[in-house]
Amino acid sequence: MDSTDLFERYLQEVRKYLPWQRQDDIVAELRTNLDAQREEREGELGRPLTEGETVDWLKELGAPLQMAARYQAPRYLIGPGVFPMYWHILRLVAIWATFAYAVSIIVRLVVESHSAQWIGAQVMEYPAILVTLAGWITGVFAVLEFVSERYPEKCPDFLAPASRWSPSSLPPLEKQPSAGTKPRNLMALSAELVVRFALLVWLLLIPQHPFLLLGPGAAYVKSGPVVLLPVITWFYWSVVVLNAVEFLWQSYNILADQWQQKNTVQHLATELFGLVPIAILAAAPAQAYLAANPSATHSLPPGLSIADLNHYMFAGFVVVGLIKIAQLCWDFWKTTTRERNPIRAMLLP
Amino acid sequence: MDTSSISDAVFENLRLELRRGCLTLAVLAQLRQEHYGYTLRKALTERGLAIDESTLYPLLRRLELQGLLASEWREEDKRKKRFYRLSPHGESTFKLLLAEWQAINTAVNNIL
Repeated sequence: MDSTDLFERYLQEVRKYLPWQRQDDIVAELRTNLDAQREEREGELGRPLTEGETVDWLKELGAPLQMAARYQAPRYLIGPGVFPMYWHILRLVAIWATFAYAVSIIVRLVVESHSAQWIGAQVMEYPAILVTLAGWITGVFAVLEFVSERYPEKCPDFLAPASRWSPSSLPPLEKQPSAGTKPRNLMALSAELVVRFALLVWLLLIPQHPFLLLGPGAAYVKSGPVVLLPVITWFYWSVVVLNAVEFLWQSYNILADQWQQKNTVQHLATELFGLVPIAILAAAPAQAYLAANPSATHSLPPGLSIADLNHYMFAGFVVVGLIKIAQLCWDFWKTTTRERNPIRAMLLP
Repeated sequence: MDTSSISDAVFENLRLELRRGCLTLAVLAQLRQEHYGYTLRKALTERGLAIDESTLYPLLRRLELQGLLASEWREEDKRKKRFYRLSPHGESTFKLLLAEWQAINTAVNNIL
């Protein structure tokens, strides 16, 4: 580990806590000023700074979160002294609450019997739970802020963990996006998350309200000449699980401040798991998806049988599956041939 | 927490309060000439007013947002730097603050 590496890791960490619209500008200015300071120190010494000297210097500059906090608009509820711990705890609680809530829903689904509507209601309750938790935490820290402002002599050190911060705890440098890669935008990513959430709710409501998928055709399907076989239910649940996992994954990325760059491994894993629903359909017993409806009020058009329908559906699923596999191979190839990427690093020494 | 550390903490708080306003005035005064962050900090330190990087650089941003400073990115010594100087609004505000400072200084000296 050299001093430049530590310095870059410091700037990388500061960037994470800066207002995203001004990140590049502030980090560029910090780099210029701190570089000049480092060069002067090195000029006085007649040699580059050692790792130990760089550690001392970075400690003098202060914890990245505190450095970044001074660039934020003044906070009247929670000031920079308490803010690092507040932010840390808020993120921890958000991540663990999301995880615990998801696990509790899954356990209740397995142990008890619930409708899709119940799942939808649980998902809809989730934002309110997060807001309530954040409200409580903010309230507690607002009190701590009040106390630490008025009675600083009575406040223990734990309110300022940044004072015990050490540069050796800085995370390693992340891979930079290759030239021409558009940087990600938090607003766009958040909007995408909201759309994913809406999609998940929509999916969960379909079994109880098929008109959400089929429109007025839902009434026709009820008394139509065919019914869906259980393989379609399996397909449906695999799609729901896939979307839920993607939603949770993306939420985690945002909460853990890992949204700036697209995670290649995550993207490829999502594409790979995206093959599961198609695989379920392609592997359907006897390649059958539809059966005759005993309570049908009308029959299929002349010249069309259920066997024909099943055959056409199977052919369609195979074509979609092949397209998805080709797309996955293409993305995998693009990733492994691009310079500086995690897959290449894993595959090639 | 013993009595001496309590009085140290109180003194530290009062000292920071006293410094806060003076720093802004000193930065505005120094920026009658153009500087980038590092040379500004050095100039202030040479004149006896040491200031942390984590205080100075965000302060420059705040003063710029308030319209008291103007800045531009320019290349110097093969490196791009952000140079700051007083804006016209900053110049008039600085004159008012300086008059205020001199009045306070005189008053406090009279009291002392």
